[in-house]
Amino acid sequence: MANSNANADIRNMLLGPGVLFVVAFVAIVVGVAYWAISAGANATHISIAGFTAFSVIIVAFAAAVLWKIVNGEVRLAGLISEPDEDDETKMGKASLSRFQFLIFTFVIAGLFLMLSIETGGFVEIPANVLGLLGISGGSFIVSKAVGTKPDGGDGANRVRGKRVR
Amino acid sequence: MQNSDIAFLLQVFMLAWLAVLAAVVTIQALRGDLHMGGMLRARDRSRRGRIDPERVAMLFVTVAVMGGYALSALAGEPSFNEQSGRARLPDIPEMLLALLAGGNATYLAGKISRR
Repeated sequence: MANSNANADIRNMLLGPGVLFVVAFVAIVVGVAYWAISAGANATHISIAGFTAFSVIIVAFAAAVLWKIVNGEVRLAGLISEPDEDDETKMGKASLSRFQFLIFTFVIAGLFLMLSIETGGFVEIPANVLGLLGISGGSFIVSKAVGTKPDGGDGANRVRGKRVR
Repeated sequence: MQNSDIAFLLQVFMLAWLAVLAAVVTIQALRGDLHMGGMLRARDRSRRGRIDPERVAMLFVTVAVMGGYALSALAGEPSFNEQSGRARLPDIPEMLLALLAGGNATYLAGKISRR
């Protein structure tokens, strides 16, 4: 019985839309590559085309995430909050360590991108800037460790989000 | 068009993306959609409602350090690594680093002592 179910799963997988998509994708890639080579494309052209496709995918992914955040499908309400101790389904108090880490991330990532654009290449990050992020991240972890009660840290003593006392 | 042009466009897009994300987070925080309640208050019930001074200090230190660093980075010319010749983010002044370490240590000490 289990064997026949496994066979049916394999058959569905082989004939499903996913395989058709993969076959179509590979066919398109081979077709475009054949057309490019016959049109006299060299390694530089292929590199540019590949980098463009890669960039478009990253841009589309980033735009989709941002759109869902703006749209409200991805909620940021608990971005800097800890889960409530008594009921994990509720939002607890906001965490100062998380807020600090958020600010640091925005500022350093923003400066990194701005200086990269200004100088025309990726900029190096000095050790003391990484140290600053380390201090912030370390404080968050220590704060979390100090604030977690011994019986509730791993969620082992929780039933449906309620702490068992 | 070359790879460097595409990389430049990608960097500009990522900077714009980060700016919009920061704006969305800020707007949601101002509108109250982003939960920020209790950031300066202790967790334990006996002291709930009272503001902890070390949390206020850490908040000020965070804003001061990041504000100071951002201003110094934007005001000065980009620095370069002498060995590799590549541009680098400016170093954080030792004073700001010490201020941040002190602020975080005070915050953690307060948290541990009130446990």
